[in-house]
Amino acid sequence: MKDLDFLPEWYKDRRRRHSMVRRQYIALAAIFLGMMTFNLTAMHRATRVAADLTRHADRQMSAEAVVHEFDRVTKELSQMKTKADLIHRIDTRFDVAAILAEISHVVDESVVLSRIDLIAEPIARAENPGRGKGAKGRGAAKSEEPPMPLGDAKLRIVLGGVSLDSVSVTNLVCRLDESPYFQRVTPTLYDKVKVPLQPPSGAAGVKASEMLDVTSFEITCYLANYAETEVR
Amino acid sequence: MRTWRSMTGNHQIQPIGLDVGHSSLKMVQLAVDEDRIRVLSARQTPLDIDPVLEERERDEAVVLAIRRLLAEGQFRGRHVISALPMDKLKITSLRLSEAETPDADKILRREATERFGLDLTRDSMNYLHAGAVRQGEEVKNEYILFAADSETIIGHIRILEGAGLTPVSIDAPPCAVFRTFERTMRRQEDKERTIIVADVGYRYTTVVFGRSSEICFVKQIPVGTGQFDEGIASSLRISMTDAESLRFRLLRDEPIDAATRRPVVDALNLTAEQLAGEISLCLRYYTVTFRGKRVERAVIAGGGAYEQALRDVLRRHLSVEVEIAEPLRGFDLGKAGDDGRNGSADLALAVGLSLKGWGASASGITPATVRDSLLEGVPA
Repeated sequence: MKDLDFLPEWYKDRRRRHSMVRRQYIALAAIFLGMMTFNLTAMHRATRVAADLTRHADRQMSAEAVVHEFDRVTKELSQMKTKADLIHRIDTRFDVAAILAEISHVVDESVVLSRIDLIAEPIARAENPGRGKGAKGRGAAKSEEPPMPLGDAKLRIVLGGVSLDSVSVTNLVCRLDESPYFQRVTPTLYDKVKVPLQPPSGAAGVKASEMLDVTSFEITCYLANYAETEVR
Repeated sequence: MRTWRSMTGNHQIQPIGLDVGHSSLKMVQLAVDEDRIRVLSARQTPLDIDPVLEERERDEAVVLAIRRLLAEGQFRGRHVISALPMDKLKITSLRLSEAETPDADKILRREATERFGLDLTRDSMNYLHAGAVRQGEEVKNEYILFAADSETIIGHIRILEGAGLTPVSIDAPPCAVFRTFERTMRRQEDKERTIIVADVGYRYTTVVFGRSSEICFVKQIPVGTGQFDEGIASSLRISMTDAESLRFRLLRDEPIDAATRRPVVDALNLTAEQLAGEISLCLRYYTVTFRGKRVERAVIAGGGAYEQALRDVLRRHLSVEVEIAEPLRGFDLGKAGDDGRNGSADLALAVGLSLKGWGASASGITPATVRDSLLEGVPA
């Protein structure tokens, strides 16, 4: 049997249109919800990334400060090293007080020193080339050493004075030679001289014109702060 | 698929079939499985509408009644198939020669315009091919023409939408009533047998002659149960309500004093004779027009189906078996309301409406296609 339908076409069209509109609304709502979800997710992720970025920026600033401080310290250290090197180069490391103390220990009562010369000399690579010997300081001697005896240098000590007898001079030479402070002890001058005897102020029974026979001497030695080595 | 559907209980749910009568409102919804039909809900309610009310007020009362039934029943979805009121539907038969048949549509539209004074740009017209008939020496094709004006249709749609329903189709009552019984006529021998379906409503009786799955003849008779009540009321000089009450008491075989019973029975017989005479004339017309088609039985549906007097008179007039319609026979009534369990003859139209789009139809329309179009948006 044929199915009759009195529902007007315009009504069916309207219903179809409404149905389509409803579907479109549902689709739009679904799309909107999807976009909202995507948006929320993206925003959440962006917020997290922004927070990470801020955290990393803070860490970067802190790291930059550390790097800057490191650079500064490194630069300062470099400058200090340069200064230390310079100081090392110009410092002869002579302890004059200790030298004088040792001399006073070595010199006995029969010896009167009238002169102590402390002469710094540069350490030559070959002090006496003819004999194939050279001298080398504790630090490395440089060929381009300046004329001024700065830095690694040897100290020539010249002791001048008088003694009551020649034995005392000899003893002094021996003691100087035995002392670990000195080396290459050489008596360079030895002579008998008369010196006026000067009585102590206020002393009685001593004539002012009385002369005393003493031995004048001059001893040259070097401070034992370097070692001589064979030059090959 | 079938296993899945049986596991999930996922049946195809038909739209609600809504029969807005003059004295009552009936709603039926069916769920169709591949091998059975289940009644989801079947409800009816009387329409106590004062006849003097304006049409607008009557429509409002109908809307309220529909909403009440929707609330009470277990109806699913809001898609509905309804039928136009019988008094608003214009029906006529036309015969066209073989030569005119190719232009049948145009001729029938012209006839509808001329006979009913309709403007078919706004108003609606449908027709059925009833069959070939011999007129003298000429063989003609008989068509049954249905027409309705746009005001009627729009008013009907307004009622349905006012009740929160979405109409998916508006049917003609004769087609819906016949569809209910069509499904019982699919045997080979049924193809040569004709049944008469008489839907006896309150004001109108719709008579349909059908064979196999085709309607051959349709007639509207302005006699219904209302005329039974009017006869009793005028005979006993009582109100229509009292007359209806007396008629129901007689139906239930309750004791009525003899002085009252006799006039009531006489009044019922008188109206039944009148109605049966009209149906008998229809039978004569059919027999003459469609020669050789034997009428097997008559099925009485509607509120008047239970009138014993009518059935007796019809048996005498028609000389065929007369039976009360059982539109829900063979259906699973599991979850149906009590209205579906008790006498269901008056649900015939609503059942036929709910069945629209389902079942084999000889119209050439694929049932599945119609069902899909009708069921668009109906929740499963």
